[in-house]
Amino acid sequence: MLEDNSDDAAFILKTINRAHLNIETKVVSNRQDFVAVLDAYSPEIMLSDHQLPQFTSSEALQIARAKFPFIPFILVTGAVSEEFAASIIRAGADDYLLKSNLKRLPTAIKQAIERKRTEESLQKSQESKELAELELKNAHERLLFHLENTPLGNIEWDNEFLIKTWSKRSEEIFGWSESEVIDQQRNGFSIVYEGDMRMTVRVAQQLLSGDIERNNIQNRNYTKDGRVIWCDWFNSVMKDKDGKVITIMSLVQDITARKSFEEILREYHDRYQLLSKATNDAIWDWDIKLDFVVWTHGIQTIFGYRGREITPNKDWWNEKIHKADQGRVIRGMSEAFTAKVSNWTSDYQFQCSDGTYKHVLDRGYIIYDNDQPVRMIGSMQDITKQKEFVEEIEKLSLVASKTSNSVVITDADDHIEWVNEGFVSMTGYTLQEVRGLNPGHFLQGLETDRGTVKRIQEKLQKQESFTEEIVNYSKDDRKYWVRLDISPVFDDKGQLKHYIAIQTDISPQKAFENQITNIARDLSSLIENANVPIFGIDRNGDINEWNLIAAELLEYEKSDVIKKEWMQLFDPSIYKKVEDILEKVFTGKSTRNYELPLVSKNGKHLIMLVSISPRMDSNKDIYGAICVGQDITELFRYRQGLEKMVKERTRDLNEALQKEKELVEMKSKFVSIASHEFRTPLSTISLVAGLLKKHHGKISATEFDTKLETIEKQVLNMTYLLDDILTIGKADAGKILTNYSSISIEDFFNQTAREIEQNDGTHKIKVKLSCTIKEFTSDEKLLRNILINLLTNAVKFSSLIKTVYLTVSNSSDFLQFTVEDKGIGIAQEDMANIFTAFHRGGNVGTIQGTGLGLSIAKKAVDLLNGEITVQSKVGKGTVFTIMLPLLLV
Amino acid sequence: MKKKILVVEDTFEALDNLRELLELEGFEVVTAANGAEAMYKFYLFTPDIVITDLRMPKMDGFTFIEKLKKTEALKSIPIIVFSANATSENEHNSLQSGAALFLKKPCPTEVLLKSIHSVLDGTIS
Repeated sequence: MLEDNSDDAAFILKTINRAHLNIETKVVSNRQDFVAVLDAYSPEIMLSDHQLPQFTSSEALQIARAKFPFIPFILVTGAVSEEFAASIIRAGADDYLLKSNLKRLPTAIKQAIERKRTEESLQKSQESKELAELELKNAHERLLFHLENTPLGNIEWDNEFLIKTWSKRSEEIFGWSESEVIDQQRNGFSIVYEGDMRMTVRVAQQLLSGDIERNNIQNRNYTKDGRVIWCDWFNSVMKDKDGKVITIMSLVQDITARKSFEEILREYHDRYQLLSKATNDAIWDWDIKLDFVVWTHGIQTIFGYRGREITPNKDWWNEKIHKADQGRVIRGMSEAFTAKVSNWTSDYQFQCSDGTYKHVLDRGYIIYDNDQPVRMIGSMQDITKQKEFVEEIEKLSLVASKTSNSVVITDADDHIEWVNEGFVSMTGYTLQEVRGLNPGHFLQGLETDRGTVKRIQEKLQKQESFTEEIVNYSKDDRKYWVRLDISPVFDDKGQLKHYIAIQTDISPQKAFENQITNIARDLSSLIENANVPIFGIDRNGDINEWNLIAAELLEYEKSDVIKKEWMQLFDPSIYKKVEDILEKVFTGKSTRNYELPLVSKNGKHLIMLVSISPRMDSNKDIYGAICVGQDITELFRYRQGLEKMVKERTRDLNEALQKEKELVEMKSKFVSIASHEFRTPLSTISLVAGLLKKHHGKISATEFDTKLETIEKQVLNMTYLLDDILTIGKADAGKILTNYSSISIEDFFNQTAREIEQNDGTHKIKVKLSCTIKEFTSDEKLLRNILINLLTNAVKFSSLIKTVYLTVSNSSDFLQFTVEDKGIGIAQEDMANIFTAFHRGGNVGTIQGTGLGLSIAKKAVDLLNGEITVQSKVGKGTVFTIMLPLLLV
Repeated sequence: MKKKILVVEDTFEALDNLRELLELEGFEVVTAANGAEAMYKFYLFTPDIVITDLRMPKMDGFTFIEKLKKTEALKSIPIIVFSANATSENEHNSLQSGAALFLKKPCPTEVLLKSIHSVLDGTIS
């Protein structure tokens, strides 16, 4: 709002607001502010006073219109003239109102805005219409340009197939001018090739019927000058509002050139396929730019690669080239590319699917585009066979000329035509010397085997190839062995022309062979005649060698055992051991000195000392074993006997040694004890003597006598002891000789009993004799020893009941006597030692004794081959029983 | 005051004569026939010196000596071994177990008596 009076402005605003027009207002009062607010505010409507400080509504309108032509401008003023009002309306104001009558203001604002919007849209639609027309015009021009300049001919047909448009290009394609075809029935010109007529008509009918709106066909057409051309047609229909077809628009292109190229290509492709099937070669087609290689079936038939094994690029091919050839092949190819030649050829080895290599001849045709190789087509031919053949020929010719073997070519009659250098150096004869001669005549000599010569002659007559070994002589009479390989050569008609003889000096082999034969013969003879048994066995353990000694020992003839199981010769108990030995031998180890029991044909048991060695062939493969034996049966038995004897002797010796040791121990103990036994009475004697010597004055005569008696008694004791010890010593030393005599039983036992009774003076000895015999044979002295010792003991150890019983009886074989007392008895713990020298029972107390009596009695009984036994109970008494064999004298 | 002497000896004659000899020499003599009896007599009489044989029934001389020497109150009482087992081994063992002197049977009376006096005087211990 442009208003300089603030009261007026407030009033106008009030009016607007009251009408709920929802208008935001800005009030300015001079030019400067007006221009500024227009720039910043973009008003939708302008209200203006007329008279403003140095500014008028006319000027404001001008400024406003320049900037916003479609924003309503309403003049709100005090009183103005009608003229002015008309002029300002003309000048572009939309309305005018008097401040005195503002009632119409809201309506005026609405109307003005509405009107201005309409104006604006009208203005805009006018502008776009003009633009569209311009574009249409341009498009039309462009279309025409296209139609005139396109390689496609443009033809428009009406619904009766009369031509309505015929472009310049159409004329060029078909030859007819526009005037010759427009609205002309097609009698005058025939554009469709008869062969394609039916197809063309069908397509046209489809279009006319409205079934389809456009299509594209290729068919043959005629030109004005009668040529047949291939055309590519793009047809589309144009319909009116009712859907009725008005015209058909066709764009046509002459594709004859392309069509024929395609046909050539197809034909070529067919031929290519045919060719590739017909040939054994592997044909390849390498698109160099894409690095894509297509292989024909040959890659499989020749090299074995199946589809998936092939990576279709150059690198794959490259990889399969033998490393030795790779560099050369690739270099050759890049040289061909650089030189821009069309043909490339290379031969190399190409790896097959199974890893082997084949010789190939690879020929490629290179296609360039702008001097760049773009495609390469080639074929790989398997020339392995040819290559081998060539190599064979090369080798053969090399062999023939350079070989140290001698080569002789004769005519059909065996006359020499040619010899090689090898022949000259082998025989010493030159070609000049031998030409025309029969080789056998001058080469054979004294040691040449006549049989072989005869065989050679027969074979030559039969015109066969053959090989023989023969002794020949050189010019300087050196003997040598040759192997002859003779082949007849026939001409085309099968007529014998030549013989070719190749002679190989086999003297070293022959010498070696002889040596081997000799060794083998020697060995065989050695085995056969060796004076030890030798057997050979094969891997199955079957006998294959059997010498004379083996036959002699085992009583089998060679023919009996050859091919028989070796194992059968052994005692079954050692089969396992023999198997183990063989197993070891067959791993290549020699075994030595096994003692093996064998059984001869007649069941004789032999012990053989056997050494077995594996037999190996030249490849060190074990094919059997050789066993060398030695009959050690006698030795074995002798050794067994010896061992047994040694064992026995050792045992005897040990026993004797033990006995001796015991004896020595016993003696040493005996001496020690004996000395003690002597020292005790000696000590008593010494004491008594000392006592008498020192105190004889204080001793009475009676006591003195007692002392002297004590000494005498001790001396007597010692004498007994000495006697006993001597007896035992004699017995131990085996020095007691038995002295047998006839003894009266009654006299001997009664007298001895009385003797003891008298010596003792206290005891009664009751003798009971119940013998069937009166006399018997024995050693009286020994018998006395036994009886006296037993009776003395019986008396000595029975101080309470002073009766001792002696009974004597006999059987047919024995004399038996017992000595029984009712004395102190022998304790159980002493029983074991009662016969041991110096042993005395634990209960003897002060009863005197040497501890030798029973020991002596026992020894005496032993000497008489009798037995002594004892039964006793402590406090009850003792019974000794003696049994002596009755001797028949 | 008479010195008390214990004589241990299993041989009757030897024991009897020894007692007589020593009594004549002015000793109070106590006798025993084996080690066991000797121990009993020992406690009863508490001798000043002991003369013992080695080989005796029931308890031999060695055992007897060992027992004496184990008893604190008695171990100072001197012991003379008087044995017919005159081996050096026995002599060694006797002295080892605590005997003051080892005398071989037979032994001259003078030597026996002199030895007893020496042991009692302490000149031999």
